Amino acid sequence: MIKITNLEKYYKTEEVQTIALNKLSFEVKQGEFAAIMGPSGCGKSTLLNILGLLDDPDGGSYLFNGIEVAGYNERKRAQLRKHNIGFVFQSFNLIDELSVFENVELPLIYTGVKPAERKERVHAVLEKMQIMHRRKHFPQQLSGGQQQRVAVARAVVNNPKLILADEPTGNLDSSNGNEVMDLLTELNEAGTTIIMVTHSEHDAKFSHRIIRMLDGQKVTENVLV
Amino acid sequence: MFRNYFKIAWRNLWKNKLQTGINLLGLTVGTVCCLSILIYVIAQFGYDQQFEDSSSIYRIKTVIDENENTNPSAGTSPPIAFAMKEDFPEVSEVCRIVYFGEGNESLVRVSDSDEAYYESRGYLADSTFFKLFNYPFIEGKPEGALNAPNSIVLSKTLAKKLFGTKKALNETLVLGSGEEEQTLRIKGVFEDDFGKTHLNPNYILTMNSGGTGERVIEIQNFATQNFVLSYLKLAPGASAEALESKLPSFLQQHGAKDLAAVGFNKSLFLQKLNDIHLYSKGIRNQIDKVSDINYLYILLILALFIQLVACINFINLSTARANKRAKEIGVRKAIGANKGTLIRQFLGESILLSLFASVISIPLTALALPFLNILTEGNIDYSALFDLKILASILSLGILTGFIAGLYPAIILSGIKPIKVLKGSVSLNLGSGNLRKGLVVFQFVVSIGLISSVIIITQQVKHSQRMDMGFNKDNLIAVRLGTQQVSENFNATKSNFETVIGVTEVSGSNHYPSEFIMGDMGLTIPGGNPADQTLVHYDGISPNYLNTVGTSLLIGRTLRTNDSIQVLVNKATIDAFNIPLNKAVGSKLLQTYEGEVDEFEIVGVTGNYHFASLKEEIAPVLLFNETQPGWIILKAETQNYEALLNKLESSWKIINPNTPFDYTFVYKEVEKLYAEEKRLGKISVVFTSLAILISCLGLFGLVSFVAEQKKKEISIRKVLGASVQNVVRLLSKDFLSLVGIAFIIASPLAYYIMQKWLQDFPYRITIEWWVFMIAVIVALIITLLTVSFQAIKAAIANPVKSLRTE
Repeated sequence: MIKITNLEKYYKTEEVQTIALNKLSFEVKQGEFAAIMGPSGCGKSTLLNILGLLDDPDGGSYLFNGIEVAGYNERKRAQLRKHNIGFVFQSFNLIDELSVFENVELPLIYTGVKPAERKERVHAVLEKMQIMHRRKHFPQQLSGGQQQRVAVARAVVNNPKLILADEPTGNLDSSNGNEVMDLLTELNEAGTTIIMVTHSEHDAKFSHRIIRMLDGQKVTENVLV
Repeated sequence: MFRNYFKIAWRNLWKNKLQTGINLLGLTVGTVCCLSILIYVIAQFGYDQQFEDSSSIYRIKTVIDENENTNPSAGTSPPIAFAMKEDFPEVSEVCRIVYFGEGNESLVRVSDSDEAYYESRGYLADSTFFKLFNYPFIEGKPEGALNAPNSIVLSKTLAKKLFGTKKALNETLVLGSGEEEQTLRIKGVFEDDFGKTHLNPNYILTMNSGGTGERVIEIQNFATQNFVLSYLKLAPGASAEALESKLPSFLQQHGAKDLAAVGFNKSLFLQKLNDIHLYSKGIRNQIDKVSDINYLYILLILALFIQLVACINFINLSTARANKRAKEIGVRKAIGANKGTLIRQFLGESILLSLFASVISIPLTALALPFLNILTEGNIDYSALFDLKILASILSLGILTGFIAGLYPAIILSGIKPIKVLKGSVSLNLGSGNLRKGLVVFQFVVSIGLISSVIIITQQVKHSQRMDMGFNKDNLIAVRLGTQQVSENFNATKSNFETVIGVTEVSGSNHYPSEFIMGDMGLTIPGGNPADQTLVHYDGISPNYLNTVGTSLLIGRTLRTNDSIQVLVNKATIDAFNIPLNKAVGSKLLQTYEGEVDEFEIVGVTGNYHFASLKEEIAPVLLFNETQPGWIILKAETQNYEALLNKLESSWKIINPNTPFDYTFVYKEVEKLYAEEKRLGKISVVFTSLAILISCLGLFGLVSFVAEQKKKEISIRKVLGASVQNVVRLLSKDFLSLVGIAFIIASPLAYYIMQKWLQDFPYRITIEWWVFMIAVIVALIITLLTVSFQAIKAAIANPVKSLRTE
C-alpha cells in the first residue's frame, strides 16, 4: 500500500541544514500494523507527516497504492488525504468549539456526505467507540481517554484505508492507553492499515512489525508476527 | 457545510468576547457613520424628478464676462425666454420666475380680515408655470390658473394658515399695503409636499399683475436686468447641446445693440433641471440653498475612512489572534479541508459579524437621526431608513465590509501549515508584521489628520466670530418695517421707541447690519470712462445710523435729514476709485444710465463693515439718506429683553395696529454668516471623535495581542529583573514610533487640504506649526493611555505561569 524509496527531507535555517530523513526506504502492505520507534529527533514525526500528505519530501519516491504522490500539490494532497487517511494525534487535536458529534462529523462534511447519512455514520462510530452518551459534550468536558476515543472515531468515520497515529497514548494513563490500543487493533483486524509512531515498547507490541529509526535512517526492522 | 461554518463562527465570536466586542463596536460605529452619511447623501439626489418630463426641462444660465468677475448667474434678461420659444421650434414651452429672496417678505391678509402675516417665498411667474412644473392641485385646476390679471395660487400650507379648513378657491387676498397694496383672486391651491425640488413656492402670483410683473413684461433689453429665472422645456427628440450651440448667434441677433451699450460680453447656457440641486456651486441668484456634489464626495470619503479604520481593527485583531486558531485550522486541513474551504469559512465569519453590526446599526442610526438633522440642517425622518435603496445599501455595506475586513485574515489563516501546529508548537510567523504596522500607521494618519483639521476649522470659525465686523452686533435689535405704509410711519414709530426704557439709540436703514445688500450701481469719477464703471452697493440709512450700530466715521460728517445727493461711502469705495482719504470729502461720483447722469457728493467716509458672507471681501458701498427705511435698528441696554420686547410691541401697535411686530436680534443674523463653517466644525468633531474611538479600540486589541505574543519574552525579562516600567516601555515603544511615522505623513497632507479649504476665506488664519504638534501630542497621549492599560496588565502577570506553559 505504501512504498517509500530513498525518501529525503531537510530542514534549513540560515546557516545549518539538518537532515530529518536520510534516504529512507520501506514498505507497508495493505492491512498491516506497523510501529515506528526511535529517540526524539530521529525523524519519526517528519516521516508521519509525509506519509499523511501533510508535508512533501525533498527527494525520493512515495508510492501510495501504486501512485507516485511525492510531487502532488496542496490541492491534490488534500483530495487524496480526505478520502484515504485518518489521523490520531498525541494531543488529540479536537476542535474545542465543536461538540463530540460535530468533531466526528467534520471529515464527512469535507467529503460531501449528505446530512442524513452523516448522522447515521457518526452515531454508528460513536456507538462503536462507546462514547455515544457523550456526543453533545465539548472536548474540555471529557477525560483524556474519552477525548482520544473521539479522535479515533473522527479518524475512522470516513472508513480510511490508512490510519496514522502519532503517539496515540502519549497523553494517557495506562488503562486508557490500553483501551486506545485495543481500538486500533480492532480496526486493523477489520482491514485498516495502521502506521503508528510511538515511544512505548508496550504499545509497539500491538503491531505486526517495528521499524526503528535513528538520524533519519532505518536501523532495524523486527517482525513480530 | 454552511451550517457548520455558521456554528463555529458563532461559537468563536461568543468565546472571544473581547475581540468580538471590539470588532463589533468598531464596525457598528463605522456602519452607523456610513449609514447616516449615506442617508444624507441619497436624500440629496433625485431632486426635481417628480415633475413630468423633468429630464427635458432646463434652466437658462447667464455668464457675464465683466472684469474678472465671471461667476455664472441663474438670472437672465426678461425677454430671452419667450424669444427663444419663438425662434426655436425645439423649445416647446418656457416660463419665467421672479423670486424676491427668502428675506423679502410681503404682508398678506385675507380681504375681509385684519389679521396679516409676513409671508416669504412668493414667486411672480408666467401663466405657463404649471405646464413645466406640474404640481398637483387640491383646489382649482392648473390650466389657466395664472392667466387672468391679479390671480394668485397658494400652497396648501399657506391656504391652511389663511383659511383653515375653509375653501380658499376664488376668495380674495390683499398683498402688501398702502400704495403697493394689491387685491388678488385665489385661482388654485397646490400640494407643496410634492417631492424634493429646488423650487419652494409659498404662493405664486401671475406675472400679469402690475408692479414688477409689468416691468418684466415691458423690458426688452437682452443684456441687462438679469434678475429673471428662465426655464424651458425641450420638444421630444430635441437636443440641448444643439440648442446651446445656437445661443451665441441668438443673443447677437437680438441683443447686439444692448450688449454694445453696456460694454460686456454675455453668454447663455442650459442647465438640466435635475442637475440644479447638486451642480450649482458658485451660481449666483439661486432660488434656494443648493447642495454641492463635492461636499457629498467629501462626506462619503470621510465615511469610507471611518469604515476602513474599523476594517483595519478587524484585520489586525484577526491575524494577531491567528495563533489561537492555528490548531483548529491544522485539524481541519489534516482531515480534508483545503485552502478554499477555509477562506470561505473565515470570510463567512467576518461577513456574519459585519452583517450583525449592520443590523444593530439600523436602530442606532434611527436614534442618531435627530442629531444628524441638527448637524446637516436636514429633516430626514425614520422612514428614510426603510427605503429600499437604503436597505440594499445596508446589506451591501455589511457584506462588503465583512469581505474587506475578512479577506486578508482569511488568506493568512488558511495558509497555516498543519504540521506546524498539530504537534502543539504554535509559534507561528503569521503574515507580515509590516502590513499590520502599515495599517496602524494609516489609522494614526487619519486620526492626526482629522485632529489637526478640527483645530484649524475651529480656529477659523473663532477667527470669523472675533473678526471686527465693522459694527457692534451686540444689543442691536432690528424691527421690520415691511410695508410702504409702515415705512411712512418711520418717524412716529422711532419717536415712540425712543421713549421705551432700555432703548438707547433708534435709527433706520434699508438693511439691518450684516444683511446682504443686493442693490448695486455702476459709478465713475468725473472725467472717468463711462464704459469703465465700478459696481458700488447702495443702502439707505437715517442720519444717526452709524452711531446706533457703532460703525466708525473716518472723515467728514454723518448724513443730515435734508441730504439728497450727499452720501457716505465706505473705505473700500474710495480705495476702488483711488481717492485718498484726505481728499475724499467733496469728491463726486457719477452714475450714467441711458444717457442721464446722476451726481453724488461724498460728505463722509465710514470704516469698512461686512454686509455679505464672510467668504467675500468687503465691497464698496454708498449710503444715502433714507426717510422711509425698511428696518428700524435700535440699541438696547437691559437685562430683561422679554419685557423690553413687550413694551416695544405695545408701542408699535399704537402706530401700526394692523401690521405684525416682526424683529430679529442682529447678533443672531451675524451668526448665520458663519453657520456653515460652524456646522462643518461640528461635523468634523463628531467624525474625528468616532475615528479616534475606533482606532483606540483597535490599538487596545492589538496591544493585548502583542502582550500575549511577547508573554514568554516578558516573563524571561521579569525573571531576569525587569521592572513594570521596563515592560511597559518595551510594549509601548513600537506603537509610539508608529505615531511618529503617521505624524510625518499626516501633517503635510492635512496642511495641504486645509490650506485649500482656507482659500475660500479672504479673511483667514495662517496655519501654525503647533497645530500639528497638538494633534500628534493628543495622538500620543491617547496611544499611551490605551497601550499602558494592557502593558501594565502584562507586566504584573506572574511570569512563572507563562514559562510553565511553554
